[in-house]
Parts: sequence; structure tokens; C-alpha cells
Amino acid sequence: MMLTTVLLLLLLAGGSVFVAAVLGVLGTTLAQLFSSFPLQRALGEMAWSSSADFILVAVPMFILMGELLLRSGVTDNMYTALDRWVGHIPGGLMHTNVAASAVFAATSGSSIATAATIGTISIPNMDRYGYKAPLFLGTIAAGGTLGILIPPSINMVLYGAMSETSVSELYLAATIPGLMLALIFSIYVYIACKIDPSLGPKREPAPWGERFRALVHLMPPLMLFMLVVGSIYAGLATATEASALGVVGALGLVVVRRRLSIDMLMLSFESTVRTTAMVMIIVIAAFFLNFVLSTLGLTDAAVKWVGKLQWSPNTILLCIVLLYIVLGCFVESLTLMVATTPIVVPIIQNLGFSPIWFGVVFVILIETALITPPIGMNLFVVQSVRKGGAFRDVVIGSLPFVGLMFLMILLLIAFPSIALWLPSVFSARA
Amino acid sequence: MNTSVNSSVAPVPPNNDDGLLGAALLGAARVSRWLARIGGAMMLVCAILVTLDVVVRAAFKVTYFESFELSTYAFAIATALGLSYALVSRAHIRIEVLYMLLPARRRGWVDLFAYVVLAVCALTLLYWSAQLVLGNYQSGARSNSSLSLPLVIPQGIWLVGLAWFALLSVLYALLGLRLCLRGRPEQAHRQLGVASLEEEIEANVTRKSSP
Repeated sequence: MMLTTVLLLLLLAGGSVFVAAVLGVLGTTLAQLFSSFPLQRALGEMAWSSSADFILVAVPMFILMGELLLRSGVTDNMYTALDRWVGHIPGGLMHTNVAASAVFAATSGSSIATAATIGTISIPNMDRYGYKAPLFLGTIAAGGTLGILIPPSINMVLYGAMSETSVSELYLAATIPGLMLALIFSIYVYIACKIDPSLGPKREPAPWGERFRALVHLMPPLMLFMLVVGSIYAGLATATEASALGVVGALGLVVVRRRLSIDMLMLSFESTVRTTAMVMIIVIAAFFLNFVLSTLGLTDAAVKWVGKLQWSPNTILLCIVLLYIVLGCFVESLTLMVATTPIVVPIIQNLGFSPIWFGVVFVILIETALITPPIGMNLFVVQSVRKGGAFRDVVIGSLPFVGLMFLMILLLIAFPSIALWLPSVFSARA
Repeated sequence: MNTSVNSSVAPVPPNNDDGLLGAALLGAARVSRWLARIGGAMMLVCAILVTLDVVVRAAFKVTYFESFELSTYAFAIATALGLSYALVSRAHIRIEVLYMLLPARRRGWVDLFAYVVLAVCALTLLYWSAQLVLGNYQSGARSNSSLSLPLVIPQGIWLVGLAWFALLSVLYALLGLRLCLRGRPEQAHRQLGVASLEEEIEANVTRKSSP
């Protein structure tokens, strides 16, 4: 059975086939070959139930929220505003890159959007002020990946739906690690610049008056974050409902800033549905493949096989983490996440780990996939926004951040409460 | 409103000598864009309804608009309606590891293979989904909620989206087949190939509405 699966995968991968089609063909073939039941009959039911899943409704909602926000113009001044606060720390604009990515991530569920938006604003300043390219570009590529960790995150919704864990709890669990990771990035930049001051120029701190005046520009994204995560934390809304609140909040910003137009709405609609369909066709196919795998008993077999290993849970966990870092170099991140969640989560749970906690670890692993060569989407995005220069700069600059993400994972393993404390406060109160 | 300027990723216009098939695909691309807009508008309306429901529930402990059920239907429909637009604007993700190593001539044939597999999958999905909807229609299944909506209404629209997607993937496969058979795999690659990164970023980020 394994041989058939592997051969089929190789053929389809070699043929550069659509990811959803690969998963679908794999599922159907396995069902035909190894099951006496016509499992493909369930395809229609699976397609409908996963398309009409209330948890997944948050996916188009958060995409729409990001699209509206992008066109509201609120992000334009955000970067400058943050620069007033962090620009004088050794490392200068690189801290601004990380901070702006974190704030932008709080209003967007996408890493590509985060990296490209921050990159577009910040890269022209790199040569102008004499920053060394690799580290500077690394902060953008890595900072961008915070988009999927700091809530709202589309990847978290997908993880929640596929592992049957609460998206609300996942969001609460990811908040502190997300902010910590941003802080770790900044600390690294600070230390690097202390050791080698030629990495970036020194700058005078902005006067306090200017700093407080700049806060106005940070209000819209922060308010939106509070609206979405705050309503979840207060128990007023589920994650999906909070996503709808976010859309209405973003729409409100668009109206207040007088950017509302039919053209603008149409563009937002097109983009939203385009991305939603792109994500959902893979999700539908993955649900079907997962259904086939679990019916054939392959998922159970994998769980049992790992359970039989005489290793400690932490050793196995570490192996899984390293495996994902390697896989992340070659497999596109959305596919990696959606296709493997249904198999890896039962294994993790069987080892005694919390699936909520693992959700945070998993998303950080997916973040590393976005900046590891040769297939790291954020590397390409940053290089493309940069328009010229050696691609090597981006890759080399991003590598230390892979190490920092690994460090964050180790911290999470050593102190699971970094992730689990906030959800526990929430559920104790509810 | 100038749609061609504001396009997300402009569908590749077929050459003049693509004939009827090319013209059909260009028309289909326009229709797909409108379907995507309709889907997006439905999501926005649902967002507003859900928000109202959340506010009303917090204040009066009642659910008024049944927005939660409606939004799941809107979501399924928006996804189905969007599949074709994602195809036309080349948003669907393909496995590109080996693809990038091939010269353009070879890529045309590989593109053709990918679209044929996709078309087969889309037709299979359509077939089993049609079976489901037909079954629900014959049994008169209604939603298990206070709305008690006949399921065939949302599922019917959903099925239309899947059918449109299947039709488009077949048309694209045919276009690729014709170009390859006529000895122009490079052109097949231009029209079916994976979107370049610049196009992808443009679609994701840099478009803002004209002031």
C-alpha cells in the first residue's frame, strides 16, 4: 500500500499537478485499491459539509477583513508611527520592520500580505540609510511570517477545523507566543547590531511629543485587534463571529476614511473569493483524503506505530519538529499544513500533548517553511519586492530567524504554559 | 468602471488564432469574475448579519437573523463560485518543485497534463456532488434548524458553481491539448502555466483602489 502511494505521489508531483487534484487522486486511488466500500461516494457529502462548515466561515471573513483594511489606507502611516517608538534602538528600522509586521499581523491572517506590505514600505530605506542587506531583508521575511501566528490567523482556523480543536482557544494560545517571537526577533537584531555596529546606522530617538502624536496612526489596527480577539476573550463571540465583527470593523474604517467605492469593494470581493477558493479546494480534498485514510485504518496504524517506539514523548516530538523543518524546505506551506494535520495531531495527542499547544508549535513550524530555501514563499516575496540584488542575501539573512523560531519551539516545549496560560484563564472564567 | 485595469491577475487573453475556444474562454473569464464578486458580496452581507446577531444576542439573548446558518451557505456558494475565478486568475496551487527546472517547451506538456488531471477531478467532484444534491432534492431534505430551509436551494446554487468550474477546467484542458498538438507547447505554457511571482504579489498586495 505504501509503495503504491509513494509511486502515485511521485508521478503527480513530477507532473506539476494541482495540489487539490493530487490529494483527490490519491484518496480515490487508495479507496479503489484497498477498500471494499465505494468510499468515493462520500465525496459529495464531504465537499458540502466542509464548504458549509461554520468554523471555516472565518477563512473568507478574515481574508475580506484584510482586503478591506489594505484598501482603507490605515497601514500607510503605521510604519512611520512605529518607527518613532523603536527606530532609535540599535538596529533602527529593522526593529520597525519586526514591530510593523507584528502589528500588521494582528489585522491580517496572511504572511505573504504581511511581508509584501512591510517590504514595499521599508526596502527603499535599506540602501538610503546604509543597512546591510541580509539582516534587513531577513527581518522582513521572518517578520512577515508572524502574520499566521499572531491572531487572527487563517492557518489557525484551518488547523482548528482539521484537528477539531477550538479556534478561540488557539487564538488565545497563540497571542503570547506571537508577541514573544516578535520580541525575540528584536532582541536578536539588537545583539547583532551591538556586536557589529556596521549592520545599521545609529539614530537619535524621536521626541516624546512626536511619539505620542504618532500613536493616532496605531489606533485603527489596535482597535481592530481588540475587537476581534477581545470579543473572543470576553466570551461575546466565537472565532467565526469575531471574524465577522472584524469585517464590519474594517468596513467602518474604510467608510470613515472615505475610501469606500464600488470599485474598491469589487476588488476586495474578487481577491477574497479568489484566495478563499484557492484555500478551500485544498481543504476539501484534504478532508476527503483524511476520510479515506482513517477508514482504511492508516491513521490509526501511524498512531500505533509511533506509540510502539520506545522513545520518550519529547524525543518523538523533537523528531516531528525536525521532520517538519526539513519538509518545510520543499513543500508549499498551506499544503503541508492542511494535508498533514489530520495525521500528526492524533499522534501528538496520543503522546499526551495538548492539541491546542501543538497548534501553536505547528504554526511556528509552518512559519519556518515560509523562509527556508529552496521553496520559501516569503523569501521569494521579499526578493521580488526588492527588485534586484542577490537572492542569497534574503536566504542568508533569514536563516538565523529559522533558528530563533526553533528556539521559540524549545521554549514552548520547556514551558507549555506560555501558550496554555491565556486559554486556561479564559476557560476558568467561562 | 474599467475592469481590465483593475483586474486581480488578468486572465491571459487568448490569441486571435485560438478561435472559438479562445473567445469562449475569454467570455468565461469575465463571467467567472462576476461570480467571484457575487460570492464576495454575499460574504460581506453575511458579516453584517452575523455582527447584528452577535450584538442582538449580547443585548437580548435571542438570535434574530439566523445569520449563522445563512453564512455557512453563503460560504459554500462563494467557494464554489470562486473556484473558476481562481482557475482563470491562476491562483490554484500546483506542485512546482520539478516544474521550475523544465524549459518552457516541456512545461507546456506538463501544464496540459496538470489541467487534464484537474478536469477529471473536477468532473468527479461534480458527479458525486450532483448525486448528493439530487438525493436531497428527491427526499425533500430540509436543514436541521429553525429556518428549515430546503437544502436543495443552497446546494443547487453551489452545484452550479462546481459545474461552471468543471466546464472551465475542461475548456482549459482542451485549449492546452490543441496548442500542444499544433506544436506550440510554449504558448500552452503561457496560457496555462503557473502565475509568476510578480503576478502573485500584485494579486495579493499592491492593488489599492484608485483614489
